[in-house]
Amino acid sequence: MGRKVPGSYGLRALPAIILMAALFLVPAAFVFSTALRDNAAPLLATIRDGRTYSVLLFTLWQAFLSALASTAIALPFAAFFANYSFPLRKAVLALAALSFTMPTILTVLGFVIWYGNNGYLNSMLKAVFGLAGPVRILYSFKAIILAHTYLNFPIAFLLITSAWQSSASIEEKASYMLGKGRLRTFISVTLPSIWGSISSSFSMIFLFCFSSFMIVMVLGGHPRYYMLETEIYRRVYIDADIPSAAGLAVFTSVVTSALLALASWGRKEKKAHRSRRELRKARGPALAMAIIMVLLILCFLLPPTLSIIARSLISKSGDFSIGPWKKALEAGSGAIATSFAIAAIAALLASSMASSISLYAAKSGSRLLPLLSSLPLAAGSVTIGLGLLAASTALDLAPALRPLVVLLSHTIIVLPFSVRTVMPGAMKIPERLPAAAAVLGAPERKIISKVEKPLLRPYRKRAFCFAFALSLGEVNATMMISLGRITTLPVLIYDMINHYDYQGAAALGTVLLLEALAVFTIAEWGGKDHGIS
Amino acid sequence: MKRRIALAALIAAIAALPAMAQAAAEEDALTVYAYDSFSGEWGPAGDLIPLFEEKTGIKVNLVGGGDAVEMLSRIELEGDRTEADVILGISDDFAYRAYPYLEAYDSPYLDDVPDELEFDPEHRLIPFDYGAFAFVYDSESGIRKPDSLEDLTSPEYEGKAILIDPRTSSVGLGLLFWTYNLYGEDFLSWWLGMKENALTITDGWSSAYGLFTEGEAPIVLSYTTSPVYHVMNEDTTRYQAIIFPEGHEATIEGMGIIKGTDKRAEAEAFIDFMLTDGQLETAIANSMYPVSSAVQLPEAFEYAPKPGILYQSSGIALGDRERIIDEWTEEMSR
Repeated sequence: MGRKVPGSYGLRALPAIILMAALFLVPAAFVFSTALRDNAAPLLATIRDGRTYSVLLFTLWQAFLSALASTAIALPFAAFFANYSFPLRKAVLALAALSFTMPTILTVLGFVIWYGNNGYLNSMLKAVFGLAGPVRILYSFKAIILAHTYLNFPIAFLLITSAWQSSASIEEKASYMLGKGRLRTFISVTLPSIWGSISSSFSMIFLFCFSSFMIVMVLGGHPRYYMLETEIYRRVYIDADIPSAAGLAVFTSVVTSALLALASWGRKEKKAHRSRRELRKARGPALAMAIIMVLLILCFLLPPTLSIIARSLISKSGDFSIGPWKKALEAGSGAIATSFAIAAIAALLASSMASSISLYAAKSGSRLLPLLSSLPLAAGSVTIGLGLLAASTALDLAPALRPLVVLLSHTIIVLPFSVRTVMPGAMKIPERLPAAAAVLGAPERKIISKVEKPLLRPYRKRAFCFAFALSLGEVNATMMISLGRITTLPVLIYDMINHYDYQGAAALGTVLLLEALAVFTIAEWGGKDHGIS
Repeated sequence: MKRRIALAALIAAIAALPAMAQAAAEEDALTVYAYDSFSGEWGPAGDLIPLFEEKTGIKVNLVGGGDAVEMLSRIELEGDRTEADVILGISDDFAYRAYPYLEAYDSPYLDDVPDELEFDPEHRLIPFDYGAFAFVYDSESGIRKPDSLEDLTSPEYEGKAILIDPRTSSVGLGLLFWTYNLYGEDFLSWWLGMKENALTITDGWSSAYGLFTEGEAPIVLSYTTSPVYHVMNEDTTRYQAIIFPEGHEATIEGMGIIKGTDKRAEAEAFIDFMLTDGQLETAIANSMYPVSSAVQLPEAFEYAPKPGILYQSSGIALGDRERIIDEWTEEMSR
């Protein structure tokens, strides 16, 4: 901080900051004030309770391993995708972000249909190897990590690929010429230029897994696997003890915010060079490698997703039927449009807010701002839901305003992802570029719109896709604020499941996927990316 | 070009926004806070509310309030400012939380409701439907049908049952109270016997029943009424609810009139309606039994056997509830 930043950057970031503050701080303030009432009794009770720490320990360990696995596995794939062009490359990139469009319940079901004791994979293994019993993949700690990697690997893969691709290869070549080996070049040259994206995706995945809960319980299969978020949920929904839930929520938010601050501390971004990496055409061994990589990714990401699509077409008696599709589409036509509209607007808002916040933060060297924008994620969805419920009750919203509040809360929920996606891009903009434009007499407004924003475009596109996917799958806040008046697709999916219609729910899940796929495809192919040049 | 497309999309989307909000509340309508099972897309409200309005001439402003706890939190937060006149969908285990906000109503139609379902003798909460937790099993899976709750712990069912965690689900909590009502302080020994037999203990009913219908395990914790869906929609009697001789835990859902309402007469009319014309449709939509003995159930309910003995969780003291859950957590987390 402390660097002098031209005023208009701050001005552009201001609406985003105000919105962020209003939408996050109001609910947060309610949760804090509840936790601190009676001389902070609820908070103190949580701090003094020994059980808090054993749950915290498991939560941290699980989230750490999940984030580590997702990022480590993503790294070699990103390395390859950032350097070579080959058939299906863009298709894989577009497909990768699909996995977290699904509401968790369908992810869990997809996992069970594919990996379960009675799942397709086990049926295939049985047919091929003639095994007596199923290979037990689920219902263990490893299954939790597997599912989290499935869900979050795409985040790391896409972010690191973007960053890697837009970091120039000149320095690497120079390093090779100086006789440095591949490993040393990677560590001293490449790694620093992609470090921002690695740590950004690691912390995002960490926070995501920190508040994961259905996956941990169902696929972990043991009451021992119990998360802080689950305990907050229990205090709200089973004990109906909101002060004690608020106490734990505040404790949790403090822990995650501290971790976030730690992760952003000491991060140094290397400014990029003028040339963007040219993709080499994969030939010979590289092409073979490309085929292997594409197959590996598809074999990992597609089966659970395809299982849901298969489930939507095949009834439990094993017959092919589209009856549930008809019923689901009839019931869901409104929800399909509603979900699309909310997700599209929220994603547009979030990605443009993210770019103005990121530009300002990058200029001013502010670490506080990206940190602040990550807080909604750090707080967890139960906490936000709790706060939103209280805030919307207290503000006594007119019913006509509720769609707007639903929309804005979606924006806030997806904002952390957007900022974390755009931030590495903003940090990479070399200072001398806008400086050169300024010397040539370009007004600030023009520098932002003609120089810096275009440079951010690939990051914004990615941020838009993430935000769109996330918003499409969002349930909690929507239900909490809309009071049952706004039915989005995921809300409808849960509704159908509560009425035993799993096939219809799978059909609507497929519709969600198609909506997301359409948007990703447009984003991946449409428009020309400007490199950091 | 791309920018223009994005702009056009934005404008189109914003234009569509108001269509998402349904008509705003009318001034002198009766405001009913109802849980999602009633007000949701598949809930009975879509048919019942217009019927009620037509019959009585009273307009209803239906507010979907999430589940019981969310509605209660809303009522508590709103305090005196609340617009609600009636609240619908509070189960007996949360009843104690609702009582301070309700006023009693002795509906004449309570005569048709069996006494054991009237969990609140003061009639602040009036039952409108009820269900019983039960284990449902897949009769085509080749397992022996368990004949009692105790029998479920036998080693032949290793990895064959899907349970639900009492810390995150009211159904899971129902099973915990069921074992407590049955075995008293010795309830943990049943759970210890189930440790190996539980394939997994899920977060809630949705995931548990999903795993069950995907064939992951042949036994699942659910309701006695679960088979009805499969009979009515899939034309199969493959999935059957098992009635245990030891008895079953009940869950009774209630409604009540908010204290200080200025629409007492209209609220009473609504309660009466729910105890008469609203009974059948609500029961079918929620897969529950109607409380009124005057109601004739459709044939498919033959596959929803009624247990002989019903236990009620409202009988368990508040202090005990917390202790039971803590003891369960301690023992099962090992």
